Amino acid sequence: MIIFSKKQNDTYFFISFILLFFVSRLTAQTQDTTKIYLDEVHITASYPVSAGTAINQQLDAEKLAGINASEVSDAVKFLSGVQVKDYGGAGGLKTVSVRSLGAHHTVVAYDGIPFTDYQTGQTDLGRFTLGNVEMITLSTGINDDIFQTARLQSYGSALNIITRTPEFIPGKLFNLTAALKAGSFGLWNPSLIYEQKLNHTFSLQVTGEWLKSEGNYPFKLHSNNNQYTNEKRNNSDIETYKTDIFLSGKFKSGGQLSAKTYYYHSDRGLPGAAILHNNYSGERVKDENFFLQSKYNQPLTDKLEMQWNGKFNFSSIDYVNISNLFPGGRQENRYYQREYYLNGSFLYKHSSQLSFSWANDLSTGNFDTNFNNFDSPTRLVWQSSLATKYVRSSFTLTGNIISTYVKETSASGLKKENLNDFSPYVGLSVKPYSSLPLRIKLFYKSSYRLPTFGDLYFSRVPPINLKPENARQCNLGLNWVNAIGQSSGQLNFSADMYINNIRNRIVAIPASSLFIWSMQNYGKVRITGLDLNLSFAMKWNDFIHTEAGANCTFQKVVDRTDKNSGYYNKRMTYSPDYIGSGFWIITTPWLYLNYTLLFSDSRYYLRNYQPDYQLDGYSEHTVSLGKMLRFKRYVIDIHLQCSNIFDKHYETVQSYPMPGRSFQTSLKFQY
Amino acid sequence: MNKLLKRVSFACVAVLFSLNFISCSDDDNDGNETVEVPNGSFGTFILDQGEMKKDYCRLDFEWDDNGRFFMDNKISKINLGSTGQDLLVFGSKLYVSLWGSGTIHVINLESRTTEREIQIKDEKNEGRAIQNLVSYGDKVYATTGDGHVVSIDTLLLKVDKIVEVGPTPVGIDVYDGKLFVANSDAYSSSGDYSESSIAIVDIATMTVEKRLSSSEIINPYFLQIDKYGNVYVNCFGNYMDIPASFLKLTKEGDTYQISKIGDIAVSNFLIQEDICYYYYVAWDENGNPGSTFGRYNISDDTIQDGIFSDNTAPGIKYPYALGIHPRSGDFYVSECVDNETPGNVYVYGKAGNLKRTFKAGIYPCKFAFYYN
Repeated sequence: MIIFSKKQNDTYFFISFILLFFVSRLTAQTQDTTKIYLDEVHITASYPVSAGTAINQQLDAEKLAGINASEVSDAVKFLSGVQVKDYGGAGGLKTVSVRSLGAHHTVVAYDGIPFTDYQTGQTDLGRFTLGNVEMITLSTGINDDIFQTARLQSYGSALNIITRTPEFIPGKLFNLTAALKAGSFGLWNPSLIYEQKLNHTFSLQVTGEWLKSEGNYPFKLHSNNNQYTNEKRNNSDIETYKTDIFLSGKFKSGGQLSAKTYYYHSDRGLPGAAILHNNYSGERVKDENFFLQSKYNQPLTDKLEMQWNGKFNFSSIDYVNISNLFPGGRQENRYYQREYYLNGSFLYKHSSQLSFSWANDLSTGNFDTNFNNFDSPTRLVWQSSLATKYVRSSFTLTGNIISTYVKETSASGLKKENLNDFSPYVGLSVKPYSSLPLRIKLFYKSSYRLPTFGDLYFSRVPPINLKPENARQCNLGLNWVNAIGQSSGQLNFSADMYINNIRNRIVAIPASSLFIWSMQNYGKVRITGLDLNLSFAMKWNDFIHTEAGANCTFQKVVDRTDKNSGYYNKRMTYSPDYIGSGFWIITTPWLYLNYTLLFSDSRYYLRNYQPDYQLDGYSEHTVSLGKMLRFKRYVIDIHLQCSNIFDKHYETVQSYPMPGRSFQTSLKFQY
Repeated sequence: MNKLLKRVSFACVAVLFSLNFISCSDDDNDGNETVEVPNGSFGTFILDQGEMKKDYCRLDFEWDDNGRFFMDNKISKINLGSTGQDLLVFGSKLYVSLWGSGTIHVINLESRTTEREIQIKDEKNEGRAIQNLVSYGDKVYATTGDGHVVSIDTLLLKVDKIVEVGPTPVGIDVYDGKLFVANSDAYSSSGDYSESSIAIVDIATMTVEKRLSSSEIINPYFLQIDKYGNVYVNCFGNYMDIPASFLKLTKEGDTYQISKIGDIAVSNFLIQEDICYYYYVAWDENGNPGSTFGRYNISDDTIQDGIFSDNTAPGIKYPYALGIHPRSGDFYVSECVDNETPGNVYVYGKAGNLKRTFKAGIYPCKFAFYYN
């Protein structure tokens, strides 16, 4: 067994970049001999990378296949500036924080329509497998495409999970993909995607998936007298079903319609924190989520286009805790929420350079529980966004203003002051030399996150005046995209410096006893950071393609609340000095090989700056190899993977150990 | 283009490395002064509760060397586990009760090392959440979150008896061969705390003799008995229409007369001789805490503001524990910040003069004074 100390971890970090440097030198040397490069992997036309003013990152299908990820939560770790809070295992909560703003400032959308959760305000990324995902995009600031819903634009950053749209090659009426994944700790994951061409206008896609995992992975627990004991996660099993029916239509008028129903069910145990002497856990959760969403896009004239989005969402959580703490030996809670959402957007292209968009989003939803005397709340949100974009060959200017109106009522009457606020965005992207593939970007964005119903209605000491938490982001960056040779490869480098300020942080503190707590707006946080990204793709020779990249975020996240407190300018918890990832994909006609790396510096989990209160830094290395067999229209893909090959034991959340070494194999059949 | 590309790649790597070095500078180490504490020295233990369902309960020690004080946040070889609740010095040992880990951690006071971790589990191998501690005779008694009182044999350091008392017992004290237990019913599924009671346990037979319940006893929490045998208990109410109150139970014949002390609400209290010192924390509309301190005179049944001799109080918004030094009479008041920031301890003289202050851990919830 190899366990890395912090120093060694730094060494690995070092080596990764030396490797990268070495490889990029190779790239430069081989350019004369390479003539042709099949540039089919890269940027999809609808998501231009470098001309925009904000930070737009994407992982396309090929890249997703190459980075050894099986869930969206694994994949996003390869995006720059992203930190995933992972409670470990298949059933563990996984939330994403971009540039240390916290999970509440990132909206997660499914095909452009946002998820909402009134109770927690965050989306568990662990529940999305990559089965039918075609692309993941992350926009920090505002997406280049200003024709977006107001809600998507109103968050600090937006993570969009884009599923595949049925495409048929001429003469083919249906597509079929069947896959089976199996792995360590009792993982089984069969899935099926069936696509049928109905007529010239419509096509249908049906996706079904089942996942089961025991999740009882081993870990090391710090016990008394600086000793470690070997333990196993307990009550960590999960079973999920997911089905997705997607109707897509393309009309002769240029209109596009997509309608999707989604149903998700999971039944899982919560292993809880790994606590000394008490391995028992009796908590179980059943999640249910159903939604129906639809999008309709129609050009009205040459200059005017409209888009409608609608969604009905229902989700419920059945929580059972079998424990001796409760009278009767068990506690059962039910939580329900429902939301209706409607968006209408218009895009007006005044000229090829100047365009405007106007989006209005209206949503209403409620939240209820089986608690006695629960003051079931209802929230109405109206968001309106006005955006403009002016594009010249030498610069792009984007501006946006969003107004948010919130009205909240509850069973006992009006509870909250109605919020009415504006949040602006301004962005500029300049191409200083027409001969250089360089862009300099600058943006400012202000955004809010509303208190969740969990924040407002679960504490026994209701905070009547809890204000929204405000995040302000400033970014200055450059992006360099360089072709290698005539058409043989590409080098992409970007560096972004940013300063983010959070005000009115929403925090929970317990109130005098273990059983109740209080919510308050407390404090300011400043995040200063630098995101670096370097990636390249090239064809080595006629047979070997390679693609490699690395990103690293350096940051300081400090308290700016009170100049007189001892914590002013001291760092916040869970903020490593650096965090990053790297990947190296080699594709040959015989085999493909993938290597990925995740690393992080140590982090304090408490604001007690002593080594005892630190989570160690880590680096996790994963390798996989596979073979793709093609026979006429049939494709068979066999994939073998070893995750965390050096069996590094680490935690991203204190007391929630991550799995060590694990194996996974998958078999995919496509027609 | 070739040259340019090389330069760019080189520049990237150079920038990366230089940044790595810059960011490594660490200015955060501002821990308390730590010194090697000789065996057998006297001092004060501070229990840092830690967060529920987290594993970082800690014990701090303030070492008293004839009026010179040193902090030791480094009894860290002792890993207590999750959610400390109470401290009790008994004989040559310190007993620490842990809610999350379901253990009583016994520490030898001379060597300050672990003597025993008494794991207390139920039939299903779930830990019994240990709450508060009290000693009587040669036994230590503890309330457990699963509705019991356990008796610990202090020679063998193991559980010898167990009795069911009522839902979620917290406070416990002893008088005249009887244990008094506050059953908080904090996990009341109906939310009305209707099963709240004060249970009286006969120690000789280890059976519940009586359960006192009334419309006043709603969500009782801490419990302490004065030297006359009067029982004091603070009730948090139902957080809705029934407010928090402070109750006094006086023995009248075979039963107990329950009366409210003034109109005061109490979060925590401490009785020393004829004075009951207390504080209450209330939250305003913005969710900010604010405290009131006071003292109740048992002998003449009067309430005065503040805890100091000039009727002033510590300016601490969110006190979390109260202690009185047995020799000097100094007041120890802990302050809680939030679930990530260490709390502080303030030490005041009787007249309210601030003597010193030091940083403890997350939620400093209990003081124990070790003086022979």
